[in-house]
Amino acid sequence: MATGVELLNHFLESDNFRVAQVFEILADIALVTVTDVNGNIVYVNEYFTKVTQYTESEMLGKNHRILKSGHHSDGIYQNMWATITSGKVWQGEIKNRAKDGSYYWVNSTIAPIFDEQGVIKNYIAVRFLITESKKIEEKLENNAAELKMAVEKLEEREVEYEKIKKITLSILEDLDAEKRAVEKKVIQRTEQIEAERHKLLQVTENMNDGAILINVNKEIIFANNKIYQILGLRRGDELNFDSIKKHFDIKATEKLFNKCLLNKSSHISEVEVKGRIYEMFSHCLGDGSVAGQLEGCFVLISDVTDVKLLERSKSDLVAVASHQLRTPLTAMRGNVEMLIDESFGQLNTQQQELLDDINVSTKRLIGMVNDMLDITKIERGKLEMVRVSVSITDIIKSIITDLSDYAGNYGVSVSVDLPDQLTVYVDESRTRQVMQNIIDNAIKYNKRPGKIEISSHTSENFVEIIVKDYGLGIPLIEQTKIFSRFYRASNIINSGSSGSGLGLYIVRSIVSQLGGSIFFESEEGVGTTFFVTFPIREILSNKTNVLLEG
Amino acid sequence: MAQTILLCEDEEFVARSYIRKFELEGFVVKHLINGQAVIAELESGQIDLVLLDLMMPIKTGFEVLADIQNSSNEAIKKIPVIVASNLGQNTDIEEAKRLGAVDFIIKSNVSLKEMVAKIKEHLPQ
Repeated sequence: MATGVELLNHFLESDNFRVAQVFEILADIALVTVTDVNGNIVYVNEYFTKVTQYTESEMLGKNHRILKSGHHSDGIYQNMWATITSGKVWQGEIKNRAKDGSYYWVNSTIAPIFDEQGVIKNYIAVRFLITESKKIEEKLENNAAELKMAVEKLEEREVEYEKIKKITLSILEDLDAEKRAVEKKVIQRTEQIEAERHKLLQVTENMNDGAILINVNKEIIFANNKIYQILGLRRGDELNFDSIKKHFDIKATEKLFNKCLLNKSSHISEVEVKGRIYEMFSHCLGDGSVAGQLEGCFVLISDVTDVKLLERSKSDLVAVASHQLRTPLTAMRGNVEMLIDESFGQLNTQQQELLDDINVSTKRLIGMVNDMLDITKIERGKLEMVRVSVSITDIIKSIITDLSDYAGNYGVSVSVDLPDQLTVYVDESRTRQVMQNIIDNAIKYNKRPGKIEISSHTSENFVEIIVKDYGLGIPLIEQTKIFSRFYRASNIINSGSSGSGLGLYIVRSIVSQLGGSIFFESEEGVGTTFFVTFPIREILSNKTNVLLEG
Repeated sequence: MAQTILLCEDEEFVARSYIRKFELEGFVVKHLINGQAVIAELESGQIDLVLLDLMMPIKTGFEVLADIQNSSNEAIKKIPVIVASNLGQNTDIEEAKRLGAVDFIIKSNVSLKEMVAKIKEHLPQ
């Protein structure tokens, strides 16, 4: 376009061309304005009014800046003004605003017009409309920017993808390594299990008890050597459930297996076959899952003939011995009693003393025989209990009456603070034995003179009897041992009192079997307090035998 | 009139001790060393109370109790029988009471005074 302006200037300067003709040429292709030296418009062409929508009269005398779009910085206008006022031609692309607010782009050429003296008298501006190409350009630019962004994003994604790929690959490698390690372990473990299974099989095959495994259909899965031996069979002979049932007691065997297979519970029964006693123990075999699907039944058969015979002879011996020992002791006790009572003549002091000694010794011997009998019963789990509701107050009061002379001899006073009726659900004679033992200890190991206080505490299910003495007390380091068999505290052995050391062992066993409990607090030289509880009513889940171990 | 106790006791020393004590207490004592003749003695109508041992030769105390229970003589069933034995299992005590014994004494565990008190407790007034 610059060439056009140069041409124009040339024509104007050459003066052989009329300005009007030039303007006519440009009338349909460019916006033409002419301003004075201050920039005020003195001429606009028709095309200008068409594009800007301003009329000629609206524009004349105004500055072109009213068409400013605000798109450009002030610098561009300052530069333009500086250029043209210095007599040079300015050219640039400008975005303007039409009267209706719409925008249009022009390629603008502004040139000064000089008078004959070379002074600027006007400025002429020729503006070609470039809105469409500008739009395309903008669009292209936008597209290019978008494209660039898209490419950048794509590149970022590619980097990320590479990263993920790397991580995934390393994970896969790790997994593979792990898988190989697990496979190795599985192989090792399988070998171990196989070795252990072999060992177990050897043990099971050669153990002294018969072992049978049967499945839920009562088919024998496994039977060890001992089973064949017991049944008088050889390995390889046919062995089935019926032959086992027939050899042992049919009813007992059926019951044993059915308990296991139907009730899923373990069961023990004892059978006697041809003079031998067998203990048969059945145990359910689960599949090892949480749900516990029953797979079958495992039965151990032990020949317990020797043990049982020994047990029987031992219990017979104890029964006979106790009876035999008690008989002469009965005669001794009775005769000494009559002599001490002077039923057959007066005694001198020495005779009295000697007979008192015999009397005490006889009673001690009787007590020991009774203790031995109780111990035997406890250890065989045969301490018999006949439970009834009784008043513990009555029991304790009657014990104190019985022991009143004895306590008097020791100079010990007993105070009882119990409700009139205090019902417990116990074996009466065993409970008497317990309380007698505890009160007897409290008298025997008291100070002289001394005192004992008996009180109670009742909870929902239990009555607690509290027997407090102010006697010798139990040395701290020996307190854990006092319920052991044959244990007697060091300070009472030195005190010269007698006892077998079985009393509290028996007491605790009885209390446990009654469903109660016993404990104590003691300080040497200060005294001992025993707390014994008894159930008030029947205890439904009776776990007695477990508690008997000293 | 003095009351009569039938003592069934095979142990000589024990029996002698009891007889002395009971006589001191003013009882008449008849003594048998086994259970065989008990029913005949009871049927004589002179016995007020029986003190019966369990472990005796020929006929045990349990058998004697069973005989009394099975007897057609209603009078002898009314005579109180105290079992005095050195057996003392609960099963023994229950069996004796089931067979009609009014009391059960473990001989070595009671004094003669206590024994006499038991007898007086069960003697018909």
